[in-house]
Amino acid sequence: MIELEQVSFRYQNEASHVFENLNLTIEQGEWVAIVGRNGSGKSTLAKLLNGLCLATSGVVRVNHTVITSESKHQVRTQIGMVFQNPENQFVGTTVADDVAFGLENLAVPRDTMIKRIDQSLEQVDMTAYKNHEPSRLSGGQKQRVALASVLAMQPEVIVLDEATSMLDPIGKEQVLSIIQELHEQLDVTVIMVTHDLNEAALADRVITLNEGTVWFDGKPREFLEKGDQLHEVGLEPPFVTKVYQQLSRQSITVTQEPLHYEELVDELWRLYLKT
Amino acid sequence: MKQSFILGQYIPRDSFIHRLDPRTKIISLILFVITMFVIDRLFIYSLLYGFVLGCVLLSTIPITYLIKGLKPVWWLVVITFIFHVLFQRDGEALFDVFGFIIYDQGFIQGGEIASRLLLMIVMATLLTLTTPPLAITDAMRWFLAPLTRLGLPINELAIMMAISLRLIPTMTEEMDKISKAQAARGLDYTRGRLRDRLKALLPLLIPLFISAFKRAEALAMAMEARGYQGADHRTSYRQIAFRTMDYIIVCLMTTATVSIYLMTG
Amino acid sequence: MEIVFEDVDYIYQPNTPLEHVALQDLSFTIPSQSFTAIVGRTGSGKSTLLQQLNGLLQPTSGTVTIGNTRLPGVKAKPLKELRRRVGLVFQYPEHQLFEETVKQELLFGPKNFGLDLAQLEAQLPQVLQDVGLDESFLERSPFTLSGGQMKRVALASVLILDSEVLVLDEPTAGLDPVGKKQLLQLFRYLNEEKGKTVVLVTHNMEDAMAYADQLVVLNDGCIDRVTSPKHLIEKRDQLEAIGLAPPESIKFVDYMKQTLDVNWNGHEATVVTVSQALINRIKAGANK
Repeated sequence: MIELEQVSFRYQNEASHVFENLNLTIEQGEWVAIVGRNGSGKSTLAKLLNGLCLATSGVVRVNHTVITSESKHQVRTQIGMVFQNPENQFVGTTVADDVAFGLENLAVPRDTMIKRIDQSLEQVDMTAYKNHEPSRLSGGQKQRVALASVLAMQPEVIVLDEATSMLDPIGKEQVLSIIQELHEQLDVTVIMVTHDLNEAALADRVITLNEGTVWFDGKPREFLEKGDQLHEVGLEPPFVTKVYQQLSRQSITVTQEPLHYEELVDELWRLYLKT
Repeated sequence: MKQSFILGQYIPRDSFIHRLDPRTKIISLILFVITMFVIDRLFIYSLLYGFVLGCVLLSTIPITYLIKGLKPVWWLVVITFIFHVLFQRDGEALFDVFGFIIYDQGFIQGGEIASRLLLMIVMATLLTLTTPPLAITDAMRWFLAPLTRLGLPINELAIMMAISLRLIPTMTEEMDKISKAQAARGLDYTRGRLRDRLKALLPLLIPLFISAFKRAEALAMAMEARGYQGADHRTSYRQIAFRTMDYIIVCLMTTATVSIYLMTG
Repeated sequence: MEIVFEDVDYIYQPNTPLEHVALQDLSFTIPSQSFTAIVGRTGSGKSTLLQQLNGLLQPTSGTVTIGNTRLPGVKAKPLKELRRRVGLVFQYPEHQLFEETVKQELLFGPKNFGLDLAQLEAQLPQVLQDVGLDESFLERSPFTLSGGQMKRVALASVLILDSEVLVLDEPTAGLDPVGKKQLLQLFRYLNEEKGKTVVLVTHNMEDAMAYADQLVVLNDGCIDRVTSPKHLIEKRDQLEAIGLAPPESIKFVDYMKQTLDVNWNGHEATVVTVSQALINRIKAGANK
């Protein structure tokens, strides 16, 4: 689905590279979390995927198409992107107008447009707000609209660039549960840039970037097993991981690294306390 | 947000006036202004006052809100009137105030011009109070559409307008935030000499410009990510539709304007 | 400096069709030298409330007493004095930077308040160090810095005023976990060692419960409760009802109590206490 081959990237007017010779393959239908501290290059990586940044050298391929300044427009119809700041990606004057924006760009006929707008607002549970103005929405609601705007364009890949980092916990939870649903039902590929490790634990695969190189690439459980080592790359292990580390020291272990507290508690019950 | 002046604000309601097509309202406003400039009989002014009052009542916007919100305009109207009364030299001399000879035409012309000013502003305000800014943009785009044939970038202009409208509340909020953040650091731009006050605007304007640029950049990126490649070859989701009532209103307004013109002409 | 709210209402655009009641009937006290967190979901009135703390907004009715200043009805001069004594850092303070160098940026506030600049200049390296930067930043332009560094500079530009009260609106938003922890530790240090009253405004219950000693919970413009983190642990359901997400540690403890029948006598939920409770429970075995 997405391939990066020997990709290097450097911002204009800057001496050092964000990436050098990065190789990465993401399969169709995967849910990948990209984590790392601020400045580790994770947002730049997201922008390389839909041609908002073009590789200085090396090749980025989406569905076998190499991203170039000519092909990027076509690639963008396959990759939808939700950005960090809800305020800065709301183009329309109302919710429906905002969802329509992408469809208008693709010259979708109006009848189809209306159907797709209704459908995608339904998917993010924002139908009731169809004619609202952005200033009357919360951050979480705006991000759901951004997600609907992307969905309406029926992409194969959705890239979320720290899309939940400016939201309050409730807004965050709503956005995440919608993404989870979409991933399961529509089999879209989800690439999620984040520094919230509880969020990363929801993914199928975690890629950790550190100073432009891949520090870790694997299953979330293997990632959390790193425990305190995560501090080295500016990340904070989740509460459950820290508790499990303490238990392990007392030789209390469960069959696999727990992803969240319910799993740990249930396993402890099953292995140690159930009669 | 300042609420002292209301021209340009929109108040969502579900009134007869709100429901009209924006083009109907703009055409009516233009016909109304034309009428005002062709007539010169006082009794027709009373008709116009009645018409404006009727429109305000139909819009369900509280009259007191309108009166308070247009405070600066009242002064302008009063000053215009006084100016004419004092300096008009036509007609019969009535009396003498501190060396100024007051003529009856002063009252009449002052009243006419002040009335024109007042009625025009009230009607324009009513247009914006009852029509979402975007609908006004849509109407303007419709009126200007023929000009695309001459190569004028009307579609681009419409998108620019729509995005500016979208960003006004955001930027107002931003301005409010920055000025408060600087006030918290002791900035006071409301006192002192003019030079100091102007200098004190820099800590507001610089961050505001920077944020506007950053926002524009981010928004451009978001637009590009969603496949924007220029304003042509796009389809349009928004449509404005004339309903029966709109045809009726436009016909009535045209008939009224023409008959008033013929009657007074 | 003690801050007392008495029956405070705040209404935006009163007597217009756009009228909006943001705060209603607030009465509470922020004790001197406390670390108070004001929590509530987006739109609960937090940001309106925090602006009352240094007179940027003044109550529509009721009074706010800050030290010996009573709002509303304060004249410009004492108001300015109040703002020196109550330092306020807005959310995303990096947006307020405008000077050519970090040094000028830091001295902007002191200049406005007429403080002794020569004396303060000597303190600049220390202030920068407090926020995790060093002296080398002084001559740099704030606009060449990263977002996180700009945020620290903006914070330092208020810390330099050495205010008795420090009001912080979501000060760690957008920082990575390590940067976040550094700043929260700094606020704790300022509170415990320098005796400053710290008011943290946040929707993050995790931070609020870990650092504050008093919590003011806002819901829909009203006080939901004024309490301590310890007491709030037991009230998880009520928190969720007003749109606040309890910290993971509390959810953990709750689930552990339910599923494993663990004794939990209401102490603080930390990695150590939670793991100890689990270890004890497992040692006690299946037939407890």
